Amino acid sequence: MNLNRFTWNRFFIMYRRPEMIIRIAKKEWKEQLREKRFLAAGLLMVLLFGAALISSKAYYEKEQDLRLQAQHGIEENWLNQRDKNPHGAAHYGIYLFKPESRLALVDRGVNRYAGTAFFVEGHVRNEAQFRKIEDETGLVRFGELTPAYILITLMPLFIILIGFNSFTKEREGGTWRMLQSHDVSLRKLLLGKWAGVAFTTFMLFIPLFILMGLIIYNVSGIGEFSFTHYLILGAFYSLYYLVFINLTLIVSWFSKRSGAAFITLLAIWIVAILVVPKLFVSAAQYLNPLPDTNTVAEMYREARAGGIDGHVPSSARELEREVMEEYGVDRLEDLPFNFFGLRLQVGEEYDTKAYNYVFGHIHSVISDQDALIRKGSLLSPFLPVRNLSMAMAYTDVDKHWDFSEAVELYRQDFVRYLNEDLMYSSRTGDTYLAGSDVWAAKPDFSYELPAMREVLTAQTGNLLLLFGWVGFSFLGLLTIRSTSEES
Amino acid sequence: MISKIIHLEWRNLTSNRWLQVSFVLLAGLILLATLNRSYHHDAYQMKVDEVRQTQSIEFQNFVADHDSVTAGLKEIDNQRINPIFPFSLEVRLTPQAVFEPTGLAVLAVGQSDIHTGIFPVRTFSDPINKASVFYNPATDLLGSFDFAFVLVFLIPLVVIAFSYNILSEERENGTLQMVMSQPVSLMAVLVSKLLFRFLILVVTLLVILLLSMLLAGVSISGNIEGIALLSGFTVLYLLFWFGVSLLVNLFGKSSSFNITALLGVWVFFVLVIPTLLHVTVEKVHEVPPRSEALVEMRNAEEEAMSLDRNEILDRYFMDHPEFIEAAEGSSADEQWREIYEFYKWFYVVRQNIAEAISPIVDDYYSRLAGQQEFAGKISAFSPAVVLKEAMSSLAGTSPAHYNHFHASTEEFRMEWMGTIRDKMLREQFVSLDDLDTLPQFSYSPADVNNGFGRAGMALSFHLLVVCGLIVVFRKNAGL
Repeated sequence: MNLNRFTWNRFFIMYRRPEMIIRIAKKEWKEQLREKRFLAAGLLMVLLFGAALISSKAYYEKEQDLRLQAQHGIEENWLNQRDKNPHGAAHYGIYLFKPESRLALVDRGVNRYAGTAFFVEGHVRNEAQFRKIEDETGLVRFGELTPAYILITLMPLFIILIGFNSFTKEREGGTWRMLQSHDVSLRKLLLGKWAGVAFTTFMLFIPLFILMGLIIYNVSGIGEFSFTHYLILGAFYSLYYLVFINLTLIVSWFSKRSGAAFITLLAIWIVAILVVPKLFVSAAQYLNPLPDTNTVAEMYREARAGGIDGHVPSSARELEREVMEEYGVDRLEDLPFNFFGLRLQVGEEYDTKAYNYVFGHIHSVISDQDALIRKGSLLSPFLPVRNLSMAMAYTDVDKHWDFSEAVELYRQDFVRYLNEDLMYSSRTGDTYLAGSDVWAAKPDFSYELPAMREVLTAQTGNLLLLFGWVGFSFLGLLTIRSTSEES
Repeated sequence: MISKIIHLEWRNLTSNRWLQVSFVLLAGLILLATLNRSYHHDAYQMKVDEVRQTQSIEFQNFVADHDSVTAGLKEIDNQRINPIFPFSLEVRLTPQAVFEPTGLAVLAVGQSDIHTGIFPVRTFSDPINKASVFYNPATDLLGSFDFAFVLVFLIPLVVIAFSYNILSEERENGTLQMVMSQPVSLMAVLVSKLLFRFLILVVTLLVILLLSMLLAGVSISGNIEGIALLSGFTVLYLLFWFGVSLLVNLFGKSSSFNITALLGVWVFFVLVIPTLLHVTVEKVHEVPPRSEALVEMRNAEEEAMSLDRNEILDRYFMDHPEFIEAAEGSSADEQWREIYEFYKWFYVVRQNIAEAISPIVDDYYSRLAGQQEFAGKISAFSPAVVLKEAMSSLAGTSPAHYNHFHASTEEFRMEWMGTIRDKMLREQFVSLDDLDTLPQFSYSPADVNNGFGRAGMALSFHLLVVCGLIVVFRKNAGL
């Protein structure tokens, strides 16, 4: 009759005696501790995590060193180059190496698969080169031993292992009837079981996560260690575990036998972590293929057509006329600056425009691919947490582009600096060789990782998907409650 | 008696809905995987054909231009593209290094998703930069869907689901006593049950695979050797997993124990060992970073360019006096001589740079090969890794194949550079006969050590170990 009072009543009955729930949770936990295979699995997780942490740290520090060394070598190259025309120096160019945030120690994301070196030169915007994966054996394709691999790929298996028989063991052991005859509401039983699995999961996760935090805090790396940032990353993993805890209990409830529960859960794990991502990648590559080199070259030619080419005097006749008119001179040689430098700079701007167009197109194809893969999140809680983890660790594709864009802006400055040096240090027709002072005064490159707020805003979609999974899996648990009370 | 068991088995299996559904699902996945790879493979072949076609058109144009220029009908001001001048070979007849997988490319993506297969090779090409296309690192990270993935990752799970309760079920259903009372040993019953299931799985698998290969347009008769090898590896791999399943059943524990234990073994061989092996390979067999070669290359370039032109040439001719004589006999006139003079310097500089960095480049490629060799050896720890690598080899897309391809490309670049350089130093013009003797790039997947023998041995070894353990535990279990 009065539905409101009724539910409130239910609520109070449930929480008036939480000791029952705690008792069940404790019993679950004790049982888990007693089972040797849980202990073995837990120990294996800890050992693997330790190995992942150690090897990740060593790898990170080595990569960091190599990059610093390479950057240093390139700087030396640049400073010690012989005297030459500034435009020759623009062709010689420099390389910029992509820094890795210290959080890459948690999740290396796409770093092995994306180029690490950007060639900065006149006329051309280059895609990042030296992808680590090009120098790898096939082993890395099985997965990379990083903390994120343990936390995202293996941890759900551990959750499944400790929770798959939560209910089926009661049915199989014949204790089901006994429980029903006692004063234990099924809701309390459910909560108790849930608390038992969750407790073990987080007892394993939290210490490992704190340990990792300490190591990352102490490693000398790029970016400040932000406590909030790290905590939010941990919260994402936790939400993901809640999804698997809920799924595990739901499946255990609806299964008649432990074996069946395990197989179902395993199938869910395989579909979510192995099959769906690969299927959606294949679909994305099929529906939104990346343009090949010829198509890109054609696009560039079209976008570039009709523009001034710095190396072709005949392409800039109109510019010559305009400039001579403006300065009231009849010959380029009488201009107060070197016209070759101006022509190069104007040509450079055409190049930049054409490259912006080409790279914009490629980025939009990649965005479409990623958006399609994200749709797989509806079938897999793995995808949103994978993306969130990479994003927080600054190792996702967005950060790669972010750096690539910063390099491009720098490239424009760098080339302008050299063109302007040519323009103002000499007159048209002069033979001009710039020297070490010019090389030393080149613009500095600096890059800062985007702020956390920015990262999170960009990840709204993945955040919603993860929350959706948490919400739906809890709703699933609630349906258990209603069916159980009917029976 | 055994035939009765098999008959019963057959009826059990055919009445199992879940099993039928999972077989249909499996067939769908294999078909999807094969068609997916064949789509990418076809797209690649189309690109290769396009490049070849462009090359042949350019060749015809070159010959036609060459005829007109030598006949005096045409004058080309830009000497870089004048077909009688050797430099035009670099820009107009740029050789293309083309990677070729085997006819079984649809089986395994291998490294083909991260490497470019088509490279223009010129004297001034970068010897260490392998990337010339655009890529999406996110898709590469998650990986593509291929038959190798289905076979290596998913099929063992089907085997496990197929056999985890082969003995425990009898006990839990209370039918064990009945089986024991029959005049056949329990072991014989178990083995015949498993073998029967194994046969059904293998036959289904191979039939589905052959059908999807036919649909993908792969020639069966042309790749019969590869298919036989693949079948052999598949049989060994499946037997291994069935063996593990029997072994776990022999412990006489509950079904739920069996399945968790078997899954543990799967996780261990498929997820854990490979990552540990990867870390070991990286630790033991480091590959020098390419950035090192890069810095060295830029130093060498600056050094070579900062020397006086005449000095560089003089120094070179001291070691190679034959070119002085040859150049004196050249038919080039004064105007051409000047042009040749510049390009002589250009090619000698390139030669100097190549000599300066060749130790680093050679070291890079040989250490990469060494790393792959080492990885191949320690892969023997996991049958999953062994099979995956063997399938990449069968498809001709393994890291070793690409390494060989890149190293051959670099070797070819040196040969090409030598040919053009010599023509420059001798001040020779290009004749049509020269076109037949230009170095040709060649690459064949057959030249690569495929490691099939080792793979077969490793898989057999794992199977033997499992069989040995079965024999030991059989005694312990009193069967």
